[in-house]
Amino acid sequence: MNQTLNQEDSKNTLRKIEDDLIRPLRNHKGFELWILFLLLMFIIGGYAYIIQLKDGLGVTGLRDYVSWGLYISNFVFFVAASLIGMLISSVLGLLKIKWITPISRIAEMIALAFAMWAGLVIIIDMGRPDRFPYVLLHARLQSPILWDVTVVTTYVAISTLLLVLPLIPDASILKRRMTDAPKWQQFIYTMVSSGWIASPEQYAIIRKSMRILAILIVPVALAIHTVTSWLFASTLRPGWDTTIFGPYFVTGAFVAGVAAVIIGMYFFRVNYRLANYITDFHFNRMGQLLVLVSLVYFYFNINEFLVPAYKMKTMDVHHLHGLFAGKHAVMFWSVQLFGLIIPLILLIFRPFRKPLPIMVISIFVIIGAWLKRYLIVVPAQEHTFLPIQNVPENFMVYQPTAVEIMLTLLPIAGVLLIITIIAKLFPVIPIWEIAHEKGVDESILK
Amino acid sequence: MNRHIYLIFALIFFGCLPVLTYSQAVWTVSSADAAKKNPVPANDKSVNSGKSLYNAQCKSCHGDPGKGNGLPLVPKPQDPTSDIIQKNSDGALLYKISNGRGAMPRFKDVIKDEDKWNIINYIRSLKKGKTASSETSVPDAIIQSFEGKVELAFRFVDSTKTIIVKAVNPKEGVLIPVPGLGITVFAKRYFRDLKLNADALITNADGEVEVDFPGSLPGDSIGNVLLLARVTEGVSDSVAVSAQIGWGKPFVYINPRSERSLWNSTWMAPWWLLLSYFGVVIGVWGTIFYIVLEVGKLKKIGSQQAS
Ligand code: HEC
Repeated sequence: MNQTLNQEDSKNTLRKIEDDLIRPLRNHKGFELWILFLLLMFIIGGYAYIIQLKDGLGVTGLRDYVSWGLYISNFVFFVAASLIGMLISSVLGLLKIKWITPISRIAEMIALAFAMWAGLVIIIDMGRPDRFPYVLLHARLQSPILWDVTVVTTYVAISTLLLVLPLIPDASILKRRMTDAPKWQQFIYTMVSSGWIASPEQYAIIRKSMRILAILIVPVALAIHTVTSWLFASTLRPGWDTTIFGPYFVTGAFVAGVAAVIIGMYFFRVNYRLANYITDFHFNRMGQLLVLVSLVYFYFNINEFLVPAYKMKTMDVHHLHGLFAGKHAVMFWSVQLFGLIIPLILLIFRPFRKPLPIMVISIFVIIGAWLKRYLIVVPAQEHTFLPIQNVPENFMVYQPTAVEIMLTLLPIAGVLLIITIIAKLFPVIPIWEIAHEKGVDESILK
Repeated sequence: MNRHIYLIFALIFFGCLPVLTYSQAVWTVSSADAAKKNPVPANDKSVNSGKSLYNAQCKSCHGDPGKGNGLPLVPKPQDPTSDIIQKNSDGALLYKISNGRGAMPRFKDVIKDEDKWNIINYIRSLKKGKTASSETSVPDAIIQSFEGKVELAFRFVDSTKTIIVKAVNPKEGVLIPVPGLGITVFAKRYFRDLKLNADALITNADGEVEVDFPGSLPGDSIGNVLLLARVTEGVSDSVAVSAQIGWGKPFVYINPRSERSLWNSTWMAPWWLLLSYFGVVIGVWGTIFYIVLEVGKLKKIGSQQAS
C-alpha cells in the first residue's frame, strides 16, 4: 500500500479498476470462434478416444518395450507447467515481491488447468480406464505411481484453493456489477463470494489462509514433480538411472511454467486490453526470471548429459549416441539450442524482454519444453538393460500413430478451455488486490 | 684382432654357461624328503579336492592335464601326466611343490600340507593308463545286468557320516548280495533331487556302495534329510529306497513375506514408509480441511453482520 486515499478518491479509483478489469468479461468478440476451435479439437480427440476405447492401446504406437509415449510425455509436461503457480504466487509472494500481483491469478489459472488435466492424461494412457479405481483399491504404498496419484490430487486441491480464495472478494464485486449476466453466472458469483462483506475478520481469514497455503504448496509442488521424476528414476534404464532427476525435473518445470505465464500475460494484455496493468515492466521482470531459471536448468542439463557422456558406460552408449548423433539428434540439439540456449542468450538483452519478442521466445521455449519431455520419456525405453531379441520391428522403435496424436490434442484443448472459462467468468487480475495496492479503502471492496 | 675374437668367444661361452647349467640341472631332493609317504588315502574326496586346487593354483602354468599346453617358459612347467612329473616319488613332489624353483612358486605356506597331498593324489590319478579311481568303487568294477528281483536297503555309519546302500536279491528267504549294479544316491529337494555321487557307483561283491554325506547339506528345521537311492544301471525295473537321516544342518525357513519390505504387500511395507506416507498425507490434507473450514467461517461472519 503506497498511500491511503480518502473515501471519494477510493470510490473513483475502484470504479476505474473495476471498469478496466470487468470490461473483457462482457466483450465476446472472437470468443465464439475460439470456443468453436477448442470444441473442434475436443471432437477430434474424443473421436480418437472412442477408437482407443474400442480397440485398445494397440491403436497407439506403444508396444512392449516403449510402453510410455506421447501421453506420458504430455503428462510430464503438464505436471511441469503446473509448477509455476507455486513459483509465482508462493515463492515470490512469500518473498514479498510486489510486481507479481497482476499476474498471480494468470499463473494460478495455468497451474490449476495443467494439474487437473495431468491427472486425466494418465487415464487416457490407460487401456482399461474402467480399472482406474484399482489404483486406489489395490494401492501399493511402495509404488511411486501411488505417490504420484496422491500428490497430483493434493496439488490440484491446494491450487484450487489458492485460485478460489482471492476470487472471493472479486466475486462479491462481480455480484454487484454483473447484474445483467445470466442467472447461472450470478449464482456462481454468489456462491464464490461466500458472504463477503469486506469486514476486517474476513480479510484476516483470507490473508491467513492464503499465507498457510502459500507455505504448504511449496513442498507439495516440489513433491509433485520430484515424484514424477521418480517414476523414471526409480526404474533401471539407461538414461533414467540417474540421481539428479528430481531437481532436473523441477528446474525444467520452472522454465516451462515461466514461458507459459509469459504467453498468457501477452495474450490477456492484448486481448483484454490490459496494457496498463500488465506492463512492459512485468514482462521485463518475467524475462529476468526466465533467464534465471533457464540458467539453473542449463546447469542441470550439463550435469545430466556431460557426466554420463564422459564415462560412456556400456549401456549408456546407445542411448547417448541416439541423442547426440543418432536418430534423436536433430530433435535433441534443436531443443537444447532453440528451446534453451538461444532464448537464454537473447533474454539477457533488454530489448528482447519487451512483450512481443519475449512472447515469441517463450513459444519456442514451451515447444522445446514439450519436446524435451518426449526426449526424456521415449529414447530411454528403446535401449533397455536386458537385450531385446526376436521381436517385431515396431517393438523396438516408437512411432506415434495418428490416433495418438489426435488424442494428445484433447488435453491441450482441455487446458485452454479451463483457462478460457475461468478468464471469462472472473477478471484475470485480482481487482481487490490491485485496488488495495492503489490505496483504496479496504472496507469498500465488496 | 684374433685375440679379440677369442676373447669374445670366451665371453659368450662363459656368459652362457650359468644359463646352460641351470636349465639342465637336475632338481635333487634329499633322500629323506623323497622317502616321505603320502598319509592321505587316495579316495574320491581327496582326488576331487586335489583337482579343484590344481585348477585354481597350478593350471595357469602347467595347463590342462594331458594336453601339454602349459606356459612356454624355460624351463617349461611340465604336464602333470608327463613322466618328468610322474617319476617323482610322492615325497619328492611334496618337496618340489613346497619349495619351488625359478618360476615355479614356493607353495610351502600357501597351501597346507594336507591339500598338497590331495593335489599329489590328483596328479597320481592322472597317470597314463590309470583312470580316476576311488577306494569306494571296485577297481575293476563293471556294470552287469541282473535279471532277478532287486531290493535296496540303507545303512548309516554315524561316526563318519557314511551312507551305505546294499543291493540284494531275495530268494527263498535268503538275501543274496547283487554286485555290479550302478547306484546313485540323492537328497530330496524341490524340483530336481540332488545327486550325492556324480557318476553311478557300482556295487561290490557285498552288493554295497558307499557315499559320504556332504557336511554342508541343509536339512529341515531339525536337520532331517530325506535320502533316496536308486539303481540307475543294471536292472530294467526302477528300484529305489528312501530313508530319513538327521545329519543335515538344521535350517529354519523364514518366509520372506513375513518380513516388512519394499517388495512385500502394502500393509507389509516398512514402517518408515507407512509412517512417512500417512504422516504427510494426514498432515497436508488436515491443513487443507482446516482452510476449507476457515473459508466456511466467512459466510457466517457475512450473514451475522448483515442481520
Ligand atoms: C607361475 C607358474 C607355475 C605355477 C603357478 C606352478 N608351477 Fe609348477 N612349475 C613351474 C615351472 C616353471 C616349473 C619348472 C621349474 C624348474 O624345473 O626349474 C615347475 C615345476 C614343477 C614341478 C617339478 C617338476 C620336476 O621337474 O620334477 C612340480 C611337481 C610342479 N611344478 C607342481 C606344481 C603344482 C602342484 C602347482 C600348483 C600347486 C604348480 N606347480 C604351480 C611353474 C609353475
